[in-house]
Amino acid sequence: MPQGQVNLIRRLFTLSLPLPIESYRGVIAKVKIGATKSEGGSRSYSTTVGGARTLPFYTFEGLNPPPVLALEVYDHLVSPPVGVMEAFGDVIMDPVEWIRVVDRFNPDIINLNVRSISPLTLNRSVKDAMHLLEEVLQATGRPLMITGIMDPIHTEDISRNTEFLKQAAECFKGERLLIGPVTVEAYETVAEAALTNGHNLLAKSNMDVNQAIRLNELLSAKGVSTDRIVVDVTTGALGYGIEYTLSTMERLRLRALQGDRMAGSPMIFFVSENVFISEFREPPLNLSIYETAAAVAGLMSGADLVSLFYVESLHMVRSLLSEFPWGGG
Amino acid sequence: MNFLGEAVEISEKKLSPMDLYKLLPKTNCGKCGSPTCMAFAFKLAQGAVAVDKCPFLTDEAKRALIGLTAPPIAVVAIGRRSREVKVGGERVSFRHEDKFYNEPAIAVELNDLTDADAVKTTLKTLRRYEVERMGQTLKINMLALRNLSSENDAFIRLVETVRGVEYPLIISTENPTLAGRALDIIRDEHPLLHGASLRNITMMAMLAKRFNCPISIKASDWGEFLSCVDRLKGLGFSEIVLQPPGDTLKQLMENLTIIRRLAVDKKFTKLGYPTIVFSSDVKSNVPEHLTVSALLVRYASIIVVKPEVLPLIRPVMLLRQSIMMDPRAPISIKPGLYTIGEPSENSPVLLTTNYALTFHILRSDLKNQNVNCYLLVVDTGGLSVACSIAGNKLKPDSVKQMVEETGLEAKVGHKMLVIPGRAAKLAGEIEDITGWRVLIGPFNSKDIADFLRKHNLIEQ
Repeated sequence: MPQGQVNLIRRLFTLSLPLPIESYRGVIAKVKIGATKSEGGSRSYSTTVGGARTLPFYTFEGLNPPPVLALEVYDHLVSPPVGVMEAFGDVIMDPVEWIRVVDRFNPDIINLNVRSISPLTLNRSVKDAMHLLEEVLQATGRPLMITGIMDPIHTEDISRNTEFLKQAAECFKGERLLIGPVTVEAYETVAEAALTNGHNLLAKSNMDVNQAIRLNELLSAKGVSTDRIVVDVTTGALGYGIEYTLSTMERLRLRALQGDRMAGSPMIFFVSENVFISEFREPPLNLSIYETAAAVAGLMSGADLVSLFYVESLHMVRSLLSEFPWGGG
Repeated sequence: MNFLGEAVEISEKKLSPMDLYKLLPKTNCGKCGSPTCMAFAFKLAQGAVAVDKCPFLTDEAKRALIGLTAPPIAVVAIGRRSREVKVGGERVSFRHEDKFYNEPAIAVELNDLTDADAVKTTLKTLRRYEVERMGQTLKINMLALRNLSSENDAFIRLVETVRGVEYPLIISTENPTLAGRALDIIRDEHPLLHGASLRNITMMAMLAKRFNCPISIKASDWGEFLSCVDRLKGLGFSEIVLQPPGDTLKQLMENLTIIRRLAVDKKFTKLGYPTIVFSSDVKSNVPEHLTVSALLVRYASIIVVKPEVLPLIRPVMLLRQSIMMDPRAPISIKPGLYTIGEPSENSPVLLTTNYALTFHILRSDLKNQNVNCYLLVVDTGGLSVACSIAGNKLKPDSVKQMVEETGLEAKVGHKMLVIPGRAAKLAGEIEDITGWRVLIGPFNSKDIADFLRKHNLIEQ
C-alpha cells in the first residue's frame, strides 16, 4: 500500500470517519503505443495507455497511472475554427509542418487524422495518404495514432476507411500504431491487418455500453485482445450531448472494474469537437477554454487518453493532472 | 469497514417499495394519481412523487414515509422564497443511476477588501454572463459576501453596498458579532450563514435560529465536522451546508467524493448535506475554470468563484447544463410539423429529430438563411440525429406515422423529404415505407440553404 494511502487512512481513523474504500475485481488493460528501434519500429519512445485499478481521481482508494495526452493534426481542415490561424499560422495547410510544430509542445502521442481520403470530400487516394504517413513518421519520433474517417456512415466512406487503415497497417509494420476507427459494421479486415503487423485498434461505438462491449467481443474473437484496443464512445461536444459520452464512459469503467473483461480496454476521449462549434465563436474567448473544460469532465469520467486540438489545452490539462499523485498501474 | 472511536451506522440497504407500501392505506383509491397503492409506493421509492399526494395518511405514517423517502443529501434553500436557490437533494453518485436533482450553484465572491466602486462594477456586469439556451437561463446563482478585512466596519459597508440585489446571499464570516450585524441588515433575505466551527458554533447557531437561515460549517477536520453536525442537529437544524476540509484540489476532490459516497451509497446520514467550496482558495496553478469544472463534476453543491473568473465561466455553465440533463428524459420538443418562415405548397420538407437542441439550432440556422420550409419533427425519444442513428431510435415507421398524423400530403404539392446527412443510411427504408422520395441533405445545418438552392428546392 502506498505511503500516501496509509497516511490518509491513519488520518481518517483518528477522526472516526469510516473511509468508503471499495475493492474492485477488474483492472483496465494496458495498451502500449509506439515501438522503438529495439522493438522493431522507429519511435523514440513508447507510451502506455490504461492500467487503472480504481475510479478516476479516487486517490483515497488507490493511484491510477496518469492519463495520456495527444495533440491532433489534420491533413485537411474544411473550415478552421476561429483562432486556429492565429495559433498555428499557415502550418495548418501542411500536415507535416503542423506535426513538427505540435511535436515541440511535448505531447505524449500525436494523432494524425487523414480525413481527406473521404470520397465525399477531397477523395485523396490511399496511395497518396501513405506518402503523407511516410513523411509524418520522419517528422516526429513520438508514438502515433493514425485515424481515418471518424464518422464512417456512407458505404463509400466505410470501404475507403478500411482500405486506408489496412494499407497503413501493412506499410508501417512493427511501428505499433494506434489505428482506427473500426466499428461493429466494419472491423474484420483492419483487425487482421493490425494483428499481422503489430498495431493497436481504435474501436468506435456510439454512446452504448453494450455496443462497446460487443465490439470488443467481436475483435477478441478475431484474436485482438483488450490490451490492443482503445475504446472510443465520444458522441458530442460540451452542450451538444457530451453528457452521453460522460455517462457511457462512467458505466463502461464501472463495468470493467466490477470484472467484465470485455469492458476493460482503456478509453479515449476526443474533445476537439468543442472547437468546431460555431456557437462558441465569440471573441475574445479562446476556444481552448471550452476544450479543456470538456477534457476535465472526460478525465473525471474515466478517459485514459485525451485527444486535444490546441497546444494551450495541453498545458492547461497537464497543469491539472500535476495536482494529483499517480501510480504505475 | 474499519472504525475507531464512536460507532458509525452504515447500511447499504436500498429503499424498497415494499417498506413504503406497508405504510400506505392499501385502498387503491387512485386519489394520488397512481392506480394502486403499490404503484404509488414504487413512485415514492424513485423519488418521483411527493408523500403528501396521498390524502389518507395518518400523521405517523406520513412522518415515517417522509423519513424513508428523503434524499440522502438534504435540500437547502437559500434566498428569499420567490427567488430561492435550492442545492443538495441528490440521490445518486453517478447520473446514469437516476439523475442529478439540483444544479451546482455558482456564487461570486465579493469581499470587504475590495472597494465599493469595484463591487458595484462587478454587480453591474453579472447579467452579462447569462445565456439563454434550450429554453433555460444559464446564470450566476448567488453572491458570497466574505469577511477578510480585520476592520469590522468594512464588512458591514460591503453588506450595505450589496443590499437590495436580487441574488441570494451567502454571509461568510467566522465572527458572530459581525454575522449578527450583517444578518440584521438583510434580515428578510434568508441568506446562508457560512463560517460555523467548534469555536463559534453556539453563537452562530443562535443567529441562524433567530434569522431563520441555513447554516454552513467550516471545519478543519472530520472530527470537528461531525461534532458541529451533531450540535446543529441537536438544535433542530435540517438545513446545513458543509465546507469540506482541504486547500488543494486533490484534498477537496477526495473529501467531496468521500462525503457523497458515505452519504448516498453508505447512508451515513451525518454527512448527508450539500457542500460549499471556495475555488479561489484552492492552492494551485491550474486555470480556475478547470478547478471549477472539476469541483462541479465532483459533487460540489455551491462553488464560490472570484469575479475575475467570470470571463471564463461560460464553458463551466455549459458543462453544468449538460450533466444536469435527465438521462431518462433528454430535453425534447413535441413531435409534429413546424413551419419556418412562410412556407407554401412548393416549399421543401425537412426531417429532423425531437432533441430540443437539434431543433433549436436547425430552426435558428434556417431562419438566418431565410429559408421558408416545413420541419417534420419525428419522435426519437429526445435524441439528436447522430445519437438516434447510433441507438436505432429514428424509425422509418415513425416517419410514416408523422407524415400521416400531420396531414403533410394535403399541405404540400410534392412528395419529397430532405433527411439529415447523418441519417443517410435510412434513406432507402424511409422511401419504401412512406412512399415519399428521399433526398439526403447536408451534415451541417449551416449548409442547408446552399443545398436546397443547388437542388432547385428553393428560389435562387
